Amino acid sequence: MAYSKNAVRKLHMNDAAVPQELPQRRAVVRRLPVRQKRKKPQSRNAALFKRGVIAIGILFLLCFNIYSRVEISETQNAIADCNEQLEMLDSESVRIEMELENKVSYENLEEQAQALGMKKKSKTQVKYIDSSGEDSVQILSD
Amino acid sequence: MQTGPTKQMWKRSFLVMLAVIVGFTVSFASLCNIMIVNADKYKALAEEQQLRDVVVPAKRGTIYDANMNVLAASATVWQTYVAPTNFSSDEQRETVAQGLAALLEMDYEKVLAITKKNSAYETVGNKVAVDKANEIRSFVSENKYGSLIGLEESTKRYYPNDHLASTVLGFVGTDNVGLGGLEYQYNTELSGVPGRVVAAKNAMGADMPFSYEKVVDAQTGNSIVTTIDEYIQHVAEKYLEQAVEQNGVQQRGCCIVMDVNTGGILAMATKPDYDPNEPFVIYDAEAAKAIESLTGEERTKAVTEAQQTQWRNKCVSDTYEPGSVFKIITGAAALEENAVSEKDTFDCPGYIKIADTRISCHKTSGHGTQTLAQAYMNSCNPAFITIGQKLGLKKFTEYRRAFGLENLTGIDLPGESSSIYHEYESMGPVELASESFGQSFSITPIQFITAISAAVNGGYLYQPHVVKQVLDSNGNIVKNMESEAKRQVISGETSKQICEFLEGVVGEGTGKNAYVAGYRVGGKTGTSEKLNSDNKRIASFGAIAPSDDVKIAVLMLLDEPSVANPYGGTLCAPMVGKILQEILPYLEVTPEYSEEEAEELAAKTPDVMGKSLSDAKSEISQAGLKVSVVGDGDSVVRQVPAAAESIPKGGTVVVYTDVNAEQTTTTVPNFEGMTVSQANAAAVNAGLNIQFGGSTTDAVAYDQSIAADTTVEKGTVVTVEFRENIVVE
Repeated sequence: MAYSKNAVRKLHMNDAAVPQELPQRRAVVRRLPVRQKRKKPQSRNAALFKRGVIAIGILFLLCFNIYSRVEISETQNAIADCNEQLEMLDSESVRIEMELENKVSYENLEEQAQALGMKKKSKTQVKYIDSSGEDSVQILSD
Repeated sequence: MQTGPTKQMWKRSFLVMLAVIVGFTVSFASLCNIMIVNADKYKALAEEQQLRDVVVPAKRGTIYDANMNVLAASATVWQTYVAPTNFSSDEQRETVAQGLAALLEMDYEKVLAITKKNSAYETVGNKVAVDKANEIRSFVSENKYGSLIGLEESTKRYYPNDHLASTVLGFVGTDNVGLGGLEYQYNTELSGVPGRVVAAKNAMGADMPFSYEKVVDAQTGNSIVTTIDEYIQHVAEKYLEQAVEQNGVQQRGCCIVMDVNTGGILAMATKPDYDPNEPFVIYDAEAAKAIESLTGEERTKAVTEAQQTQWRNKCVSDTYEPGSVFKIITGAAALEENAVSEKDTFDCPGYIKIADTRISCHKTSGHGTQTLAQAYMNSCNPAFITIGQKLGLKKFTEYRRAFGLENLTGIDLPGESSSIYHEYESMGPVELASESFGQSFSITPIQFITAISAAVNGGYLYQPHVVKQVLDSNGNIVKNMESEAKRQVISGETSKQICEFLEGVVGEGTGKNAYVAGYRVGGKTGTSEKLNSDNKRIASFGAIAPSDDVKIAVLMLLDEPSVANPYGGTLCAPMVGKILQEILPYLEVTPEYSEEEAEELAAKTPDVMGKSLSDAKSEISQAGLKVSVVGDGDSVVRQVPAAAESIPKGGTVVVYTDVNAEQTTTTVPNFEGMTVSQANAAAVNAGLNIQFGGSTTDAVAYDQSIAADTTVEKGTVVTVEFRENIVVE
């Protein structure tokens, strides 16, 4: 083939015969520039103020958080110290009680009493009262 | 011009990709290994590295007596330690040793030697309380010895009454674990549950409390309430100790006081014993002296032996031949089985022949014909051998078992020994005869007092016990140990008869030395020959009171007393009498005095202080007493003995009528070995008033309230204790 397929322009039947519709003219809509509101100088300050307040708030919260943690830590340490002290005092109390018990044991009491010349009460010094009877009223004299 | 990647580039890319893939694969495999395959191992390693885990020891529970008096309690103390390897110079060692020796009251050389050891941790001295610990802390901070000396928290067990009930309470080791007695028996209850503190730590090893901390509190151990009464225990120990010392007892003595209606132990003592605050010290002076001269292995062996001996609770862990006290059981069984009756009589020619074996009575001339009550009073061996034969072998062994003498009692104390006895199959008439009066078998004191209690409480054999309640750390009752009667062995009627017989023994028989004015005391003496020994004896006495409504039983035994007459009636009965005299009023048993006793009691000195001499004389003579006047005054300024003091009828009251009158003094004679009349004469000669204690029939003095050769004022009352020399096998 002496020619290239690509070179052949394929003709369409209706290319010339069918009247072409004229392209419609697109309506030009002119957008009027939106009249921007003029920012007032006061509202800009308010925004800044708002941001400032938020920043301060965050800072405050941060500081508060840190402070509360420090406080909690200190309180916890204080509680731990107090508990430790309580345990120690409890223990000391037991030890002292034991020493006291030792000092007032029957054996020591008896020894001390004898050293001071004390004697056990004799049978003659004990009087037994029979209180088994019923309650009664006795008129001794008119 | 080539625009795509070159071969070289592809090659390099491939290599990089390969390296990346291999790298990721290795990492992934490693992660799988760490997180899945060996997850537990690495978790533990991480925890170990990042967490601080400290065990918090639990506080040990308290041991109380029956009235909630503390017998043992724990408190926190501090143990001092040094790090010898951290010392930089000998000078530093010397300074530290001087400081610690002074603070811990230790020998300087000893502390210095500790600081020279090649170790990173060495404890110094005993555990110290908070005040001493603070002194040590100041010493450390002032001298900047933080890396050399440290204090670690520990607990110490306190026994406030020292030796009191030591063999019952036991003791704890350095690790706070019970090693003897109740401390061992109830170790699980008393120990509690250790706590834990698990906290995160930073790279420096410091705690990070906000990162992670978990505290599991230690649970304090439960406390136990015993049936032991501190006062009764003290009284029992006091008189047991006296008996052991006075009679040169070689193999220790023991005493039990039991509530017969519950099986609760009111007192349990062994002497000599030890102080549980320092349980490893040897308290037997002779043993300690012998150990001093030993060295090496021999010394270690002797120390261990001496310690084991002093820790041993003789009441539970040692068996003995009960001797004649066992006649309580033989008689009870025979009466219950109607083998004998109260009206039966028994003949004693001084011996009895059983299957060609001649068994002698302690009274070789014989007791003649006697009733059952008299047989008890005389503690007659032939009579009880006859009773045993009448009861028969089968019944005898049945009752031996029923009274709990063949089995462990199951008391809540460690180391209970089994009894040694002839089995029914191996027993013949001779064995039955010897067992009938308490020979040729051995039982523990706790078995025996449980059996005696059953014989006198209406016949009920109770489970003996030392603990009655377990309390939690808030004092709430966790467990109640109810008194439990195992079985009824004999009837109430037989039991009542036994009580009457035993009262007769103390009233008129071999137990006279245990007589207590105003109280109905019963008892039985015993002197047994030790099995397989060269004539070694055990003196014992079993008592009950009050015999018309028995509340308590007391058993005292002295193993190998080294005196001429080692008899239970002579050595143990007076001491048991003294125990009863002190504990019966304490137990609110009201005395009922006989007319004779009441008359004796009424004899007390009148109060004549400040009265005119004539009035004083009249009052004193009205009281049946004599008067001796010192001084020329008209009214009484002083009197000896003082008002309301017990004084025998016919005694003398010395009245002083002049403040400046010189005291009339005298020397107290030595009454030991004197009869009642001899002692009375000696007292009168010395111008003293004598008060008679104990049994005074055919008795001799063995103790006096004021030591011989003491100078006292004339008219002073001296109480002289008498006891009958009772010879009973």
